[in-house]
Amino acid sequence: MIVLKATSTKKNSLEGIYNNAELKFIQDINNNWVVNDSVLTDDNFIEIRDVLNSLTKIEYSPKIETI
Amino acid sequence: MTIRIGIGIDNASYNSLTPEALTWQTNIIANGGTISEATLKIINDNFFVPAKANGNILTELDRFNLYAGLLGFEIAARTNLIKSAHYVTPVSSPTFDNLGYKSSGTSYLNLNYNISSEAVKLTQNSASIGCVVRTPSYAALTRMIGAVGSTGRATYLIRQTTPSLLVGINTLDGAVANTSTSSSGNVFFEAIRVNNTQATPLINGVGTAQSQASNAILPNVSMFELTSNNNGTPQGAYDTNPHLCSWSGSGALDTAALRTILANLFTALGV
Repeated sequence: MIVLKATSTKKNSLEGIYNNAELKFIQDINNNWVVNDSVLTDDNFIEIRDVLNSLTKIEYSPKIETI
Repeated sequence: MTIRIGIGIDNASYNSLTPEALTWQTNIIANGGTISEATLKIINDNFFVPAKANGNILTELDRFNLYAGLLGFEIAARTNLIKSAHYVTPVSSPTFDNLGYKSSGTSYLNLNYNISSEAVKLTQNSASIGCVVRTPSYAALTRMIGAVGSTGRATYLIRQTTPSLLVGINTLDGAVANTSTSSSGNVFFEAIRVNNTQATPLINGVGTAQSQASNAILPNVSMFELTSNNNGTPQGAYDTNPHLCSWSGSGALDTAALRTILANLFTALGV
């Protein structure tokens, strides 16, 4: 699964509510801030699409999940 | 001989909508959305009418969101059928189609429903939460819905390989389990609490009450769906299987009747 990787600064500037939808990054196993690339085709985020398109695409490596 | 010619929409059937269905439609429009008359009529006839006739369901729920059968009407899917509160926020673009919502891998739903401060029918020792998932996988830890607040007080539904369903409901006391796996069709997952010592995990209505103490304070963060809210942060283990609907209410909710109504509703909606 491909995700978009952002710096901490970029993450902080992008996160928020757009058209009643929210953009929020999570941390992968390497503590990178990432968000699924499905945001690229979500019209709720059209106003920041250019910035999202500029983010680095990487393969998602989730954190180890425990109860 | 008298000949009558009618032109226009079927006002007779449209006007037969229940006040509850019309209120839901009003709330959808207030949220900026719409719903077709045909779809609203199906949901009226197969949810609002039987749920109202039941006399319990509409009064014992805090929230009920129907996600399935609403392709083209996503705002309607996000609009609570019970009251105007708790309008759902999609976070980081979960996938929405005619089967409802599923996580795209890191995305989820914020139900904007804080049990501690906003629940009315759901209380410490009288609580019910549930969701319906299409062909659920049990291959890994999957968080379907939940809220874990400060000090670990928690309410959640988790699918897992073994056991297949772990639930916590208003507890600090860990999970109770249900191993009656079902992965066929639309599967109902629920947790019910009716006293301060036990919780019941149900899969398609099957399960028994187990020992689980309730804690003194309810989870104090908004409930997430397709993952769980861990004191403000999505807890991972996102659910990539479609959620057709979800609900929260009191422990007195007539869940057997609700399951029957929803099964009929899904049939009527073709999902």
